[in-house]
Amino acid sequence: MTHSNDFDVLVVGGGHAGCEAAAAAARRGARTALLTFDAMQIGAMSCNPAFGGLGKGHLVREIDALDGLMARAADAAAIHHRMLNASKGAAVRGPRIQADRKRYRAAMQELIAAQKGLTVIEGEAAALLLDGDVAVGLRLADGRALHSRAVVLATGTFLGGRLFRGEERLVGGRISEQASSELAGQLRALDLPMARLKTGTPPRLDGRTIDWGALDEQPSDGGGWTMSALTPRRVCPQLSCGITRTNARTHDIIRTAMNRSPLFSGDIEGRGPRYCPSIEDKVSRFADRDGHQIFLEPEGLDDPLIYPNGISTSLPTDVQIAMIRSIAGLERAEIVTPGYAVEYDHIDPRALDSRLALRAIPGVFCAGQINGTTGYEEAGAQGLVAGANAADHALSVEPLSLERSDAYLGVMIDDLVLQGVSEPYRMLTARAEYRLQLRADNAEVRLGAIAMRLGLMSDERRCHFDANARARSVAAELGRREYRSTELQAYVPDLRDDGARRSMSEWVRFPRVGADVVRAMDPQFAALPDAVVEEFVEEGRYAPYVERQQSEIRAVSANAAIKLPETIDYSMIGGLSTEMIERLNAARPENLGAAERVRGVTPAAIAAILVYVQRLTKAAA
Amino acid sequence: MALIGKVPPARQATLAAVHNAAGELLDRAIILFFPAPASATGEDCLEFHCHGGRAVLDAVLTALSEVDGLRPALAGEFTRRAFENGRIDLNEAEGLADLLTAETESQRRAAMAMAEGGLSALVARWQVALLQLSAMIEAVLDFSDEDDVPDAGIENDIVARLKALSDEVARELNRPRAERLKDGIRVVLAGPPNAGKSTLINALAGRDAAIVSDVAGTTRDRIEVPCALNGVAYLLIDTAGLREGGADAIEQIGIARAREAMDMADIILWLGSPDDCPPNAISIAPKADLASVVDPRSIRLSALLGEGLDDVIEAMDRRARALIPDEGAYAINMRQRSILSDLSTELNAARAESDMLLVAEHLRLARLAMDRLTGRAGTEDMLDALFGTFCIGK
Repeated sequence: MTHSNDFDVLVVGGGHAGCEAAAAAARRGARTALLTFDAMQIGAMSCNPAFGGLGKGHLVREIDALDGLMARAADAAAIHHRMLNASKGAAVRGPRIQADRKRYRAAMQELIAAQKGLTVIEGEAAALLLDGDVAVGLRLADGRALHSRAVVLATGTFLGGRLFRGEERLVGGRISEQASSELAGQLRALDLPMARLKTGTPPRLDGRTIDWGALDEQPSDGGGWTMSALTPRRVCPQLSCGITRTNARTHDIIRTAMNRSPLFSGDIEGRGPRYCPSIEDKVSRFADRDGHQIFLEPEGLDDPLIYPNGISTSLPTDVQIAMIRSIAGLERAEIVTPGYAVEYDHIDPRALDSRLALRAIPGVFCAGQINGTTGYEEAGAQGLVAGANAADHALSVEPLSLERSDAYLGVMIDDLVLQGVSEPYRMLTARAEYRLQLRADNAEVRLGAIAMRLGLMSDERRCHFDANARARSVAAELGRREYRSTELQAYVPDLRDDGARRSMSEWVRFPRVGADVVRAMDPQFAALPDAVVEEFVEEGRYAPYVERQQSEIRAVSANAAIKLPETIDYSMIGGLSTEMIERLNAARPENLGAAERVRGVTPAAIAAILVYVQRLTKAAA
Repeated sequence: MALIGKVPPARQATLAAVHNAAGELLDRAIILFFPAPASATGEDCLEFHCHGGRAVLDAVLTALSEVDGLRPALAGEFTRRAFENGRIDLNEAEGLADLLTAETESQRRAAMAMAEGGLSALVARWQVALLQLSAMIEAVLDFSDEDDVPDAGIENDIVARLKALSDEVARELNRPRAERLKDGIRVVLAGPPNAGKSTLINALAGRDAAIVSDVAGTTRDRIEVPCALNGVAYLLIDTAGLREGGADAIEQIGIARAREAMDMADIILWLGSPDDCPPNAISIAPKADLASVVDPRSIRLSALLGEGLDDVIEAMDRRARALIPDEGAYAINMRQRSILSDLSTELNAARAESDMLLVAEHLRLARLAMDRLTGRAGTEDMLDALFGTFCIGK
């Protein structure tokens, strides 16, 4: 292992955010080091063994389009595929895979090792090295100093991490691992806006002790889709999941033991995610439900561990055992590792700008749970942006900044830096107002050119991207060919004959004119890659709505052109409510359009800000 | 203080001689001085109350403009400065149309003030219903893999709720218009030439607003006469008499305009044969003093003698009460009506759509319309509704 003291970018953490950050910085040509407690834990999945899903699948595809690693590693480890919302519009379809834990970790470590310009260093980051208020590197717990131009903090649950299980309390970011307590102390001492959040994980079961025959089975999807555009086909054998559910007896056991849960004893101060409630939460908040579904997800091809998805808990071990054994199919199940809750430090993400850079300490970038998010995909996506921008900070190339209308990534970062978080933030398609045009299947179209311009794209990706771009322009050309309804009736029998001639681009607005019809009608379409044809159909289907959204986007960008100086003191603006002042001062929106999106800020307040800024500009002139 | 030679005492009306730079006496005016910050704009303000002659004003303004640093205010500048200096709050900033993108907010407040709780309570209820609906759809879209979100059942529920909400919005759209309160109810007097329409209009208005003669076709254009009867504002519209033959080109145009007016009328007073009476019109038998027999379907009227006038007014009053809001109720104005109509359009489009993704898109646009009416809600409110209803998350 090399120990150079001179890097462009230092990344703290080898989780999903850290890996993407380090690889993205290195792809842009920055000399990068990834600092981790344990190099063998790089790419570890702390919680559920799955990637993607609704909203999250979009993020994985966007990471992939920006040539990130997550999708490729996921494909290498995928042992179960499921396209969520397969029967609904493509904009809300969510590809989700379950990953073999060991294979994922191995694939990620391989990708990191293969990345040029990226060094892995083992050690604990103890403190930021500061020159005035500028970060110039890190001091390690063993006394080493590493100097760099930029630092990316991707500390996950390790920053001031504490574990809770019943009456037990442990210090650590994951079970039997350490925590970054010293760094947490420094960040708090620097007067950054810090708070606590919590999350939890379920007990892991020994699959050999589960009565699979008594359970419903959920097989993997057929079809050949993969997470990454670069993965030609699925590689691992596919496993099924089991489905069971909690029952009245389970709920009784939980209710009786509620006073032993740290969640309800008041020991955990951090808020947990509504999207991923513990079973204690579910039972107390939805007392009328007689049962909650549990997916029994295999953790690996050659691993008997089973992840019971849906019963994250921090109840004492004896209660967990009783609870598990009250469930159908799990009557004799053995718990290998009991579940626990983890509470950790995060920074109010409103202290960041849209590059994920900390305003107070130039040179520091943050990604993942430290920014108050939950989820591998959210972390990885932010990591990529933070890494790309850390490289920009070090090399002065070009920042990576995505709009809400560009990508889910843009939506997430905008939400974080403007609104802050009151609970761990999870991506949802409902958060994206331009959802109809931000599909998982067109991530490459949306982001490919940006990736190329910013130097994020490898040669391999570029070949693939160029080939697809050519196929897309062929599809657009073919889409102009016109057909009468009578010609399509061979494939869509009950299509009404109105005598009109329409281009294929228009025909695909009819819900029953799908990719199969398009291919059947025109052999040249059939010769194009499937993904390109599907994309053509989806583009056409929602075209009128997308056009309408485009005009909405144009209206929004007028206010985005009006920049707001970072130094504005919003309490100086007459007529703003105390709440607005507090939120605007915390978020420091970069332009008027962003200010408008800050929750609770009314159009009238925007007018007041506009007038104030105009006056400042005039006074300065 | 070149013009008046001294700084007058603060907030006291002071008589002062106003001179120009050349020393000529321009006027003896009342001067009011408001030192900052206790002034309308928050800056030093000096008011001249001059004599009203055009020449005096011009001379004073000219003298003022010759003072270094003085210039005439731009349109809305006083309000703008008052706003900038925090003298008026955002509620009062409505007049700042030229610089404020605050249009929607200020209008919202006006709307809410006018509604005095009636409309806002209703809108708040719709807001909840709309957020709830959106939450249900987003649950279907974002959490279809959760067993707590029933798929088929929820879709039926969504359709039913959509119908209920869009019906209610449609009902509201049919409410009386606020403009009728302000501009008056449009009453068109129509009938054959020389039926006595102009005589009636003059009698109702209590003044000679229309020319009366015995010659058929005297009224060639429309005459609009505002008046108030029993506290209700009316706009009486006298029209050219309707006849097919014998009218010259100008009278023909007048007749065309009369038909137009009838189309836009809230109430039609028909002064012709009850057999030709347009539907829903009030039929009146004019010149009843000259007629021997009056059709029972018509109100007997002799405008000249004042007989039957009260009956006509009473009949108008009955119709008018149905057209204007009840005492204490609210009316919706043009802007609110247009937003409600957008809302209604999106709700109907959502009802017609089977693709849940597009239903969600129409509801998003409906929420945007609602936001224009009320300020804003945003995605987070919808998510709050979502997580309050369903047990979601593994």
